[in-house]
Amino acid sequence: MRLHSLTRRTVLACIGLGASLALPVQAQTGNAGAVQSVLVAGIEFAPSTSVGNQAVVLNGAGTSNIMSTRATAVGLYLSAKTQDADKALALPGAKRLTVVALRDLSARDLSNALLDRIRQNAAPGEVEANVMQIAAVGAVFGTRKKMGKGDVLTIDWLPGSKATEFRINGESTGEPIAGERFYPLMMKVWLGPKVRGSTRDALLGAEGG
Amino acid sequence: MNKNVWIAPALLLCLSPWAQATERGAVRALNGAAGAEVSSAQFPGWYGQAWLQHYRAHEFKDGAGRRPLQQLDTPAGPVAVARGGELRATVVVLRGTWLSEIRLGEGKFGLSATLPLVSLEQTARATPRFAAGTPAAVMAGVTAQANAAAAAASGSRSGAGDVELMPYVDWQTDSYRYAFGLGLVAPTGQYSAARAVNPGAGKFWTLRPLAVGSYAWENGFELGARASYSINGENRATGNRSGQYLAVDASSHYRLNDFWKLGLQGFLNWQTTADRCANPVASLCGKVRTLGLGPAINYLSEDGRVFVDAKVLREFGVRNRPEGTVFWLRLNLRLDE
Repeated sequence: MRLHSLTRRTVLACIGLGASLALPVQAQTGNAGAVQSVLVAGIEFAPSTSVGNQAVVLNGAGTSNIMSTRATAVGLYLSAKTQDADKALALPGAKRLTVVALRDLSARDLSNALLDRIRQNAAPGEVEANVMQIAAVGAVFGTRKKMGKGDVLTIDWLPGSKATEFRINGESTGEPIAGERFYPLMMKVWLGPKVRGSTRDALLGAEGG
Repeated sequence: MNKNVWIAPALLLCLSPWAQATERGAVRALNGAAGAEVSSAQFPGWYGQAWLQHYRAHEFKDGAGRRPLQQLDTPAGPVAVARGGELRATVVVLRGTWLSEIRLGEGKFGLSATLPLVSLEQTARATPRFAAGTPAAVMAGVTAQANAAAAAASGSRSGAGDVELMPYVDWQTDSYRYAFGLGLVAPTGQYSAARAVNPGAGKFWTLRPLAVGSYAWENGFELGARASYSINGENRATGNRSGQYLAVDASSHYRLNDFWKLGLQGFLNWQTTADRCANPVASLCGKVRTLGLGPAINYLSEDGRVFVDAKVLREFGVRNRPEGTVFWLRLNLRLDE
């Protein structure tokens, strides 16, 4: 499910991903007033999708940089839209983070970057309370050398089983990681206080984000 | 005793400081090397770097920033001797860097080792300026001594330079990066006090604290600086102790796209304490200063494994050193998966 061809883009657009322009813009869907998909750095995020059996809507999408390097395009899906990061973290129901690689990323680098951002954006005590879950993040990429350009990582919150599920290109990476307090940590990787303002604003659907 | 023989030590005083030990105007620093990598993400792993530096200078500046001109008293009256020449240096720098996953606080421990392979060629010139009426015999004698002194200060040499080991701790976020290190430069390079030029700076150690800071804005601009302060031991070959100096490399780049960056690069090397010279007659013992500025272009491959940059930096504001132009072509490779 890599996004290298137009065909694959179209398929991904149906599930919330795709390709178009470099900046987040509303895609032309034709129906005035309808919820629109968002285009970020050539990736199209569908206006809605489902996690488990629950419908979720696109809250926002943007690029995520590591220093000056554009690394990923990220979309946040929630049960209801909000522009408040704390409300997004506390919102009940299913959630999805869709992370699309904008360049080849070593699995080890991606894992290190995730762990760094978790530590940098966690509230006091959060890391200590999720030691086992954080350790499990390393295993998510344990079977792969890299995420290629266009590969898609989805991080789903499954409220029924109270677990976080990682999938790469639609394939599960292992057993879901149990724990209610873990998913907010993952959300803070892109919504936390040390995250670039433009990325956070984009995922919260702020103007120009 | 030939009446002109006494001139030689004085001429050597002004001709010798080109590229011998640090206390004679050269510094143990790769001016202008650090660039856009300072403001780029670096993940735990192994990195190999091969850098090519070419430096060329056609003039020397004294402590006042002027071309050196020395007055010599001769039996026929004072004679001014102008100093000139050319210095060429080609340096291949091999560096290995390991950034570990060992955390010190929120920073990561890393280690780099740097070995310069140096080729130096120095041609010194001393041109006496005689007043009208100077006896021909004095002119011939002074000219001969000047030529001999210039020849003694000229030469070429190739070989391994001094190895630097730099342990450091690196902090990185989405927007900024900073690092601190404490390095040591060992006198591994070839050095002889009797030679005009040497690949090594001298038989002494250098302790080198390091600070790195950078920031990348969302609009594509980034700014980075690498500063080190060098504290030198005594050169066992000369008895001299080079002064301490601050070396700063700074750059600002703009990201044209995901692969290319254009930027402006600068450097500063400022000696803050005077050299302590065992024999002041044979050493210059002046404080060194040099600044450089020029354009830079950088390429980063899509998978982030290959980084290449090129830059040309023109020196200015130089004191007690040659003033020239330095060219860098650098290749940085990610070695592991």
